[in-house]
Amino acid sequence: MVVPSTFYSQQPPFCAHNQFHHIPERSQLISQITLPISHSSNFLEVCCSLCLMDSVLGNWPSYDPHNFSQLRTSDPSRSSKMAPATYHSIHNRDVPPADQVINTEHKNILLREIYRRAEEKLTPKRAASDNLIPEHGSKQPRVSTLSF
Amino acid sequence: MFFKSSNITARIFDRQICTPAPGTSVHYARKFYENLVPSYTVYEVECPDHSFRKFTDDGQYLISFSRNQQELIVYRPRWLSFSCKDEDCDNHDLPLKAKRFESFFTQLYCVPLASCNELICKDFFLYMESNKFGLFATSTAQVHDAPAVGGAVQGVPSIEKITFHLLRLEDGFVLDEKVFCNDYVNLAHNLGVFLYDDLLTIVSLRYQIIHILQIRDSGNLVHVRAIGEFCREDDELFLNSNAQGMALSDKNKQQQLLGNHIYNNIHQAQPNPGNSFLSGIKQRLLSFMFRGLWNEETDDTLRVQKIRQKFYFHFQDYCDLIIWKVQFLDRHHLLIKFGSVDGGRQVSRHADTHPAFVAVYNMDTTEIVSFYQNSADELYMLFEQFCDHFYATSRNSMHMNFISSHSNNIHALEQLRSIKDKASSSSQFMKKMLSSLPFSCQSLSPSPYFDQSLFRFDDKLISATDRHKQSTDHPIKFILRRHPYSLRFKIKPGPEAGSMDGRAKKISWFLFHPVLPLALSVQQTLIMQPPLNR
Repeated sequence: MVVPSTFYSQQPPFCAHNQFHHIPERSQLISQITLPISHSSNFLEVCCSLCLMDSVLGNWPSYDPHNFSQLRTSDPSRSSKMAPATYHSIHNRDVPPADQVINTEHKNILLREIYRRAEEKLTPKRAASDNLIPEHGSKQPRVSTLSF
Repeated sequence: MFFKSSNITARIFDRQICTPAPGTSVHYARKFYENLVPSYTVYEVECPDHSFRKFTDDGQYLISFSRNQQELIVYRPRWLSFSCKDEDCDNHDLPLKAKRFESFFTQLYCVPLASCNELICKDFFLYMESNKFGLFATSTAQVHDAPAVGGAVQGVPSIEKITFHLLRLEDGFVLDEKVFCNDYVNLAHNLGVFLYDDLLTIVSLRYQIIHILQIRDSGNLVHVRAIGEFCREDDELFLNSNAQGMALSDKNKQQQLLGNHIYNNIHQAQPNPGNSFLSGIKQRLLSFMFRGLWNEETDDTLRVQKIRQKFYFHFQDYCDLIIWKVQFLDRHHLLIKFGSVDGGRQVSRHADTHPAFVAVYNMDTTEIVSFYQNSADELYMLFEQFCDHFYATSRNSMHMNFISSHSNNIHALEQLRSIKDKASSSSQFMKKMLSSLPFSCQSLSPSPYFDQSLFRFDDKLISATDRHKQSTDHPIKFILRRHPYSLRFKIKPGPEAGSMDGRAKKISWFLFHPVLPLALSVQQTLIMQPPLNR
C-alpha cells in the first residue's frame, strides 16, 4: 500500500490536541480517558460505570481464579481511596510539559534533509581530522563546484 | 487489499462496511476509477474554434482562449445523462446530443484580456484553488536584440509590456493587474512564475530580480519583496544613505580644496553606475561557496590552494551566472536555478553543454542554505527520495498531493530505476533528470487515470504533464496494474478511421478532467516545421 509521505508529518486525525496535556496515573487510566472512536464508546462507557462501582480489577476475568480473591469489592471507603479525583486544568496558565505536546514540524521533510546536510558540511572538520591524512578528506561531503 | 472483488457493486457494498486504514481514504476512493473509465469515444466533435488550455485543478472550469489570442473564454464542464430502457444497454449507442460540444460544456463568459497590440500567452495559466482566482498573462511582441540598459543582462530579449491579470473565475471579473515594462519573463508553460498557496514569484530575467507577490483574498496583488540586487527590504536604504554620506564627505573635501564651488546636483549623491558592487543575491552565493570551501580543509596552506583552484580560478564565471528559474519549496524557501546566459533555456539533451546550478535560498534569513551543481549525487538522491516535495503543491488542495511520482509510487520508481540502469552514463542520466528542477507550477494533471498504481500506460504517448506528445494512429492503452491486469480503456486521438496522410507529423495533447471520467484530445497536423524556440 502506497501511503504519501505527507501523512507522516500530520497529526493523527483522531487525536484531539488537548487530550495529551494531562497524562493521568495508571490506576485512573480507564476511568478518565474517553476514546473518540464511535463504535467503541458505548463499550467503554459501560466499563467506566462498572469501575466506579467496583474496584478496577474486581470483576475482570483472570487466569487463576484465586488471583485478586483478597480484594474486597463494593467497599465504598476503599473505592474512594482507589480512585482519587482527577485534576482537570481549568485555566490556560498551566503550560503542559514540553515533551507532552504534539506539534507538526513546520519544515517539510525535504527541507529538513537539506538543512541537515548543510549543517554536516559547515561543522568544522578539526575534531575528526587531526589523525587523518589529506586523502581521506575526499570522503567528507563537499560543496559542489563547477567544472567549466 | 481493500476490495476482494473488482465488481463495482461488490465494491460499493464493501465500502459500506469497511473503513480504510488511516490516511488512505483518497487511495480507497480512487480505486473506484478502475471501474469508472472513459470507455466511449466521440470523434471529431464540432466545437468552437478556440485553443483549449486546461481544466482547472478542481474541475470547475475549462479555460480556453480565442484563436486570435485576445479573449478568454471559460466553460463549465457538465455531465451528460441519459437513460436506456433496453435489456442490452452496453451495446446501445449514445444519443445524438452526446456528440455535441454544448452537451458537455456551458460557456460562462468571454472576457477580452489583450488590447490591440497585445496577445494572451496561451501557454500560461495559474489557478488559485482556495479563492477560485485565475492568473493570465498578456504581452506585446518580443524585441530580440534589445540593448542592455539600466542593469539589464545582455543577451536576454525584451518585451515592451507584460501584464499579469488576476481574474475571479466565477464571473470573469478582473480583480487586479501587474505590469512589467521593458522586461522579460518566461511565460511559456508557466516557466517564469510559480504559485504556492497565496504567494507568487515572478522572475524578471532581464533585470535578474525575483519578485515575490501575495494574492490577497480581496483579489489584490501585493508586492512583498524583490530579491536580486537587494536581499533585505532595507538594503537599498542602507546603501543609499551610505553613498550619500560618502558623497557629502567628498563634497566637503572638494569645497575646502576649490573654495567657492557649490555642487547642488542631487545626483552626485547616487552611487556610481560603474560601481563594482555585485547584486545582493550573488554576494550571498559567492560568500556561501567561499565559506563552504574554506571549511573543507583545516590546514591553512591547503585551504588557500583550494580556494585559489576552485573559487578564484572560476570567479568570473560564477559572477556571470544568472537566475533562470525559481520555485517555492515552502513559504520561506526558494529553489533557484543559476546558469550561464547562453544555456538557460536548455532542453534536456543539451544539458551537458552548459553547466547549471541549483541553490536553496531562505527568504527570511536571506541566506543560501545549499548549493549544488545540477549533476551532483546529493541533489539527485534528494530528487529521487523526495520528488513530491519538490512539486510544492499548496497545502489547501489535498488531491494535488496524490500525483504519482517516483517518490510515492513503487511502479514509477521501478520505471526510473530501469531507465537509470539502461543509461550509458550515470552522470548524464542524473543531469538529464535534474534539468527538470526547479519544477514548473501546476504542470501535472491530478487526474486519477494517471495514477501509476491504478493504470499502466505508455509514457511517451501520454502522461500527466501538459505538453504536446507525438501522435500515432494506434490507440493509447490503459492497462490495470492490479488483477486481472486487463486492458481497461483506450484513447485514440485523431479521426476514427485513422488519418489519411500517414507521413504528416502529428502532435496531440490531452485534457483530462480531474474528477469526471472525461478527457479531451486535440490533434494537430504540422504543416510546416515549427520554429524550435518558443
